[in-house]
Amino acid sequence: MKDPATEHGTEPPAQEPRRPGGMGLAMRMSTDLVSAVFVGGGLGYLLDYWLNTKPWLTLVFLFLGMAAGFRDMYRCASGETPPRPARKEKNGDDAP
Amino acid sequence: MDFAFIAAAHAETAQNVAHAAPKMDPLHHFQVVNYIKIAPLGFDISISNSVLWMWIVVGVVYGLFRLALRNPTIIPGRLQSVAEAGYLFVETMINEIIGHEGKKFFPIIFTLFFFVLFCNWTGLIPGSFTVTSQLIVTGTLALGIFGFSIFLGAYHHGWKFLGFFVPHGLPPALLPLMVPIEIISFLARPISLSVRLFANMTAGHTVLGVLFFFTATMAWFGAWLPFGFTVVFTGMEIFIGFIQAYIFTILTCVYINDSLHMH
Repeated sequence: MKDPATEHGTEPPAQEPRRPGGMGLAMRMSTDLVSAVFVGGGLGYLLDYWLNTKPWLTLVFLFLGMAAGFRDMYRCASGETPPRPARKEKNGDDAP
Repeated sequence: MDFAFIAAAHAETAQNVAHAAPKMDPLHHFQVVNYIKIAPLGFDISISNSVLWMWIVVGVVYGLFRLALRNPTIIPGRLQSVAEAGYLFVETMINEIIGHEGKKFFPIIFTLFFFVLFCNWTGLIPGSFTVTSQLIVTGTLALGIFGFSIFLGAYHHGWKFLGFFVPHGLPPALLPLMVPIEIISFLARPISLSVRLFANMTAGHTVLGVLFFFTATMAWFGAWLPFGFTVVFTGMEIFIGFIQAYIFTILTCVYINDSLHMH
């Protein structure tokens, strides 16, 4: 796996202990993917139950949930949100 | 007349002997047992082994830090440097993710990290109870964090917090697709947070239980193999317990940061 720290051209500072970023990333991504699908499906099922449109909203929201899961995974992998390997940036809020 | 009674008693002993033979039950140690039943007005607030071990964990963490910082010196002793390393670990995590404003959330995040960490670690002591292997415990923690982050966002941004569900730089045509996706991904947060911790703890301890069962029941020439695995897996569980506490806390930081800065 490519190390985001080297990818961005900033080296992790030497004095800091390396964080368990890689494994945390893996564990986070796997559950994020699954839980988003479940939440999407559950939401669709509830809406179906409420609006009496039996199978349709469940299907739609299941796919939306999958999309959300993949979006979470992408966001996690692209380093938009931690955990990531230690990379000290002085600008804590890179997005306004 | 007596014979029937004796036969029945014998049948019972036979059954007992059959029960006494080792039976694989790796989920046994996840059972919540009520020690003292307290249920005023229908609210069950009994003292169970889960509650007991939570108290023990709180006591251990408190005692450890009290002991470590009993007479602090400039050049820290062994225990004091452990405590300081723990402090620094949480502090750098908060600084990296939230920034300066994160300072005021330090107590809750620090407490959360050490509570989850020691819940995971004390669960490895044979005969103990793993508090974090109960979905209700991790779910309560995760829902608390989730509610806290919503409260923070609403407090700091008011109705503008709903703009959280609208990603930046998106063509308006994609909004009807992306907003539900963002909402689902937001709602999935507490679930993935709680299920991750619960599932990792449960799975790890179940594997340990199965391996210990094999060790106990296998003949001597075969038992060394599962026994070796239990040793390896206990080390692995110590590591996973730390990783899970770390992820739990770092995601708390991320959620608080999202509420403060709205990405």
